[in-house]
Order: sequence, then structure tokens, then C-alpha cells
Amino acid sequence: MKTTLIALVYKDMLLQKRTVFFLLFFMLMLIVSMSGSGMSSPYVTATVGASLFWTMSVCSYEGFYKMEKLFASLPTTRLEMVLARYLSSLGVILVSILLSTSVGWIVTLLPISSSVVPATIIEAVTAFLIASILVFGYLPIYFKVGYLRSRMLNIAVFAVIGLVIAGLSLLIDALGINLTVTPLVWVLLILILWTALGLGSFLLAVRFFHSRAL
Amino acid sequence: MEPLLELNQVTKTFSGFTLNNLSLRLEPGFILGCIGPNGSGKTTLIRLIMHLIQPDTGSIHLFGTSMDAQERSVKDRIGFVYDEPCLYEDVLPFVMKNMVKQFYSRWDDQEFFRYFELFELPSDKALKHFSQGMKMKYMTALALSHHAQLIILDEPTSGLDPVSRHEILELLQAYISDGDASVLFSTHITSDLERIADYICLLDHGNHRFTLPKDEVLDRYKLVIGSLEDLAAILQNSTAFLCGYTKNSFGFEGVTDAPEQIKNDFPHIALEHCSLDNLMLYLTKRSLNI
Repeated sequence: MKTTLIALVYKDMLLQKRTVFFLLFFMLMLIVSMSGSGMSSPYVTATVGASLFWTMSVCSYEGFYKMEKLFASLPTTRLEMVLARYLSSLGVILVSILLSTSVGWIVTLLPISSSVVPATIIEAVTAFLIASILVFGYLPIYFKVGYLRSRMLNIAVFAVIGLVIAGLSLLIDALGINLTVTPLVWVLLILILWTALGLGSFLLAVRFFHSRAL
Repeated sequence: MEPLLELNQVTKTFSGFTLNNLSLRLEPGFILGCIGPNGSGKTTLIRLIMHLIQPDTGSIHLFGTSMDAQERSVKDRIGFVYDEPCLYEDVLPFVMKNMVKQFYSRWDDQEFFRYFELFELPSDKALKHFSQGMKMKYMTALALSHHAQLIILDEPTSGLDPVSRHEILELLQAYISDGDASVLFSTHITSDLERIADYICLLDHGNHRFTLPKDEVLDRYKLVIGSLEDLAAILQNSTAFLCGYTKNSFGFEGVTDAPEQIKNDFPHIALEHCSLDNLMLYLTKRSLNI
């Protein structure tokens, strides 16, 4: 299992490698323009945008060349195919964080824009959480219907995720719930919620992909 | 001898199509050719065997086990070529090969390079610059390079010129010559099967008409040619004599599975060798009046 899993993740990385330069440019433009116009969270936006672009471009590439059919016929299982996609997507988010913070750091050293400040740990963690939650929302849809049909559904999925987060925050405000808890409790809560979402998304994707006709 | 492939009463239903109650087995050392018109279920059969879709009922066993039980080890022993190339076309052929080889426990680079050279494929061109025929040859090279015991090919020769088709057919024959491996081959080009197949499986609108040794098929079915009066006489005698026929203002042509009875009852009617093309035409279309 280990070898095939590595091969599947490697294959995803190989495809994602093709768009590195484009994404570096995208991140640079986004960070400079957002920082220059005083908008908040340029690193979060750049990381989330790049992660989703990367994940979805691999899915589209596979869909276009019917690669799922090939890999489902090779000595591997659908469970491994799904697991590899989740691992490579999480890897992509980490690489995106690394790239966006590196781009920002390099910009602060160059006389390009004085308004760019280096990324903070909080921004990096926020970017990771938001990007991974969006990926957790997208991948089950992709494994259920394939890339072409998921294109139409993913906007709805992302909108629902955004609305749920915004709704929760509004609800907390409206009910006047006091969320003053210690940082450790916050970390534990977020970790538990993130794990539950990730695991739920993964199990759903496995179930969908197992019954999908290729 | 344990069959490499065994299907027992497999049924798969889609909207508007059912592959109905299909049973067949393939033992080592043979080539099974699957024929049938478009939409007859050939590709569905291959997708079922490759576990790309699940049967509604029935069972599929490969190498004595089911795909559900031993998926990875079963697929490790199968080489496949689909009717459409499934390749990352932006990469060079050796990059794609390196991607695929990591999945197989018995991948043989020497074999791959032998086929690659034999097919005269260019190594410095991305796969998207390959012609359809070159892609099929490339897929065939991938399928034959890991010592698979079962080779499954879905219309592999459809995009190939006659010379390349001949090469691939010879390769397949050579591949099974040691008696360990078998080939399941679906095609529209029935002359390919007449050349290399040991068994013929005929599918018709999802129904399994027969799986028989090729020689038995060619002995059992004969082409009948005669006048319209002969046709009327045959039909009056017994419609069961003719499996299918066409007629025009000059006469008729059809296929019979009772050549001895026709010869006895109508000695003046010509009986000729029936090609698989004609067989498919007449068995899958009851009558065609032009």
C-alpha cells in the first residue's frame, strides 16, 4: 500500500509542479495589491486561492485525460486513490503557505512595496484551516460526480461553507455567547472540529468514489 | 485447469441497456475475441472485469479470486488497453512509463523498451503529439511490460493501419505462446479475430449469443445464397434454418446454423464460408429488406 500511495501522491505533485511559476506570480500580485490597498489577510487569500487552484487543476487535468480510469485499473484501490488525493491536497496547502510567506518575506526585502509586512503564524494557521475546510468540502463532490460536473457544484459548496461559517458567527453574536476560553481550549476545539470535518469528508469521498462508474 | 477469468451469470443494468446474464470462462493460453455491434455490451463487459463498474448480480473471478478480495494482486497480473487513450498527454512517454511502472511488482523496463523500439515510437515527443495509432501502441507497450497473465484489450486495433494491426496481432499471439497467459480482445474488425482468436464471444444488445471455439463457429455457421423462390421455400420449410438474411430484387443472402439440413433439403442452394463479419451482421439483425 505504501508504494502505491507514494506513487499516487508523487503523480499529483508532478502535475502540480507545472503551475508553480504561475502561482508564484499570482501570489506576488495578490499580496502586493492587497497590502497596498490596505485590505486585510493578503496571505490567507493568496494561500487559499493557490491551494484551491492547485487542487482543482489536478482534478481537471485528470478528468480531461480520463486518468481516473487508468489509475483505477492499475494495481491500487479506490481507497488509496482517495487517500492520496487528500494527502496531496493537504501537502499543497502547506506548500502554498510556504510559498506565500516566502514571497511576502522576499517582497519586504526588495523596494517593491513598503506596505507589505511579513506573514504571522496566526495568518498561516488561518490560511491552512480555511483552505483545508474548502478542500474537505470540494473533494467528496469531485469523487462523486467527477471534475466536469463538480465545476458547477463547487461554487455552491464553497458558498454554503462560507454561509455556514458566517451564520455560526452571527448566531454566536446574537445569542451573546461568551467564548472567552483559554487558548489551549481554542486549539483543542479547532483541532477536534478540523479532524471531524476531515474524517467525515474523507469517508464520504471513499463511499462516493467506491460506487462511481468509471 | 483453473480459468484466468470466469464470469457467472453477470448482469449489469444501465438506463436503457442491460448486459444480461453473461457467463464465460477463459483458460490460460487462449485468445478470446469478443464481437458485437455498437452498444452490444463489449465495453461494459471489459469495465466489469476491470472493476470500473460493479455487477448488479453474478460474480466475476480472476485467477481464482475476486477483485473485491485481492484487488491489488489481481490487477498486478492484468495488462489493459482501452478504446480511448488514458494518458497524461503533456508529458514525455518515459515520464508516463515511470509513473505507471511504480504500481507493478513485476515491471520489466527491458520489455518496455523492446516494444517501444519495435513500435518505432518517438521518445522526445510529448504524448499529445502522438497520433491515435501511436497512443494505442504506447498503451499496448505498457500493457505487455509487466508480465501480465491476462491481457484485456478494448478495440486496440481500431486506430491502426493494417501493418501496425498485423504487428500487434502477432505480438499477442507470441505473448500467449508459452501457455501461461491469455488475451481477451474486443473489436469491430472481425478479420483480426479470424486471424488470431481461439474462442469467439458474440454479444447482441446486451445478450450473450454464444462463446464457442472459433473453428466450431466457422463450421457451424454457413452463408446461404439463393433466389427469392429459394428463400420462400426455406422459410416455408422452417424459419429456424436461417439465423438472419437480407433480400433484394435478385435474391437473398443469409446465415444458417443448419447447413446440413439446407444441403439435404435444398441441394441446389449455394453454401459458402461465413466470415465473422457476416455472422455478426446476420445474427444481430434478424432480417433486413432492401
